Amino acid sequence: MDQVPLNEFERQLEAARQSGAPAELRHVVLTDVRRELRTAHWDRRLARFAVLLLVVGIGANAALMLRGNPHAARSPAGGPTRESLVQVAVSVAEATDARTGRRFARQLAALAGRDLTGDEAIAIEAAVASHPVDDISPNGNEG
Amino acid sequence: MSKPSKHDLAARLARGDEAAFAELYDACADRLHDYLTLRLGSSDSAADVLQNTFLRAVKSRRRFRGVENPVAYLFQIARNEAMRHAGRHRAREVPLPMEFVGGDICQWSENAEAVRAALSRLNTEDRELVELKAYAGLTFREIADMTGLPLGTVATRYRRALESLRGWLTKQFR
Repeated sequence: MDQVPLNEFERQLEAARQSGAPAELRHVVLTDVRRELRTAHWDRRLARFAVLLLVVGIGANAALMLRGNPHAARSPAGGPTRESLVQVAVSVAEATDARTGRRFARQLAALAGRDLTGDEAIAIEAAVASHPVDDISPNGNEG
Repeated sequence: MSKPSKHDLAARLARGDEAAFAELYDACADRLHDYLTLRLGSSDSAADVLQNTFLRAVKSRRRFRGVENPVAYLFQIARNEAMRHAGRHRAREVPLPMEFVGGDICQWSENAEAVRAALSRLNTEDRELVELKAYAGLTFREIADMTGLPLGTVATRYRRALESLRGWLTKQFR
């Protein structure tokens, strides 16, 4: 056989393509896509609801504690430790996103009557960053 | 009104827009299926892998956000899925069908088995370039995005692979 020119050979190769995906495959694939998107949507809603319940529970606990002893929350020894703040931030971030995790830890500290210290903020930032969680950009879009 | 860009499509995919996945399917499912059929040697396997490819794309949809070309990215997922599939069902080297030995080169391209047999002579990287360019219809730019190779390298290696393929086929059909 004589050597065919390369572009002609390439054209022959392109002509060897199959006829494409079977028509029924489109419906199968897009049904899978729809199901997966809906599942993810409900997972997210449930996670948000769980976080909301957690916040309400912690808030109710804090309110009861303040009513029983108004000075307790302001005590320097009271409130969560740095480790527990970090763990809470990571758990919440895993269930929702990194921004909510950080915010939640800040509010937990606030419930104990104080702000996050610089060390705590850095530890939370590092822990959340080292976990594969969703992030949210400063303008509020998911990131 | 201007046509939606690949960036717009990538952003919609990342948000989990169902219609965007339908658009992506329509844009590349045929090429993807052809590529996978050639790669896996079976239309049924190609359909399975194509289905898994889309599922994986949906599950990791946020990664579309930083993607320049969603089609190239989907091919990248498909390629990984095909490798996984091939690992489970080890592919064998395909001999050239007897009816093509000593035949006419015009006939070989009409037979998928013959194309697979010819491509199996190439090394893995070169074979993949030919599959992606000539068979899946991707551009050099898309292949470069997908494989991480420089554009010039893709073009040069593709040409060399074609020459090698043509040389082998010329001997077979002599």
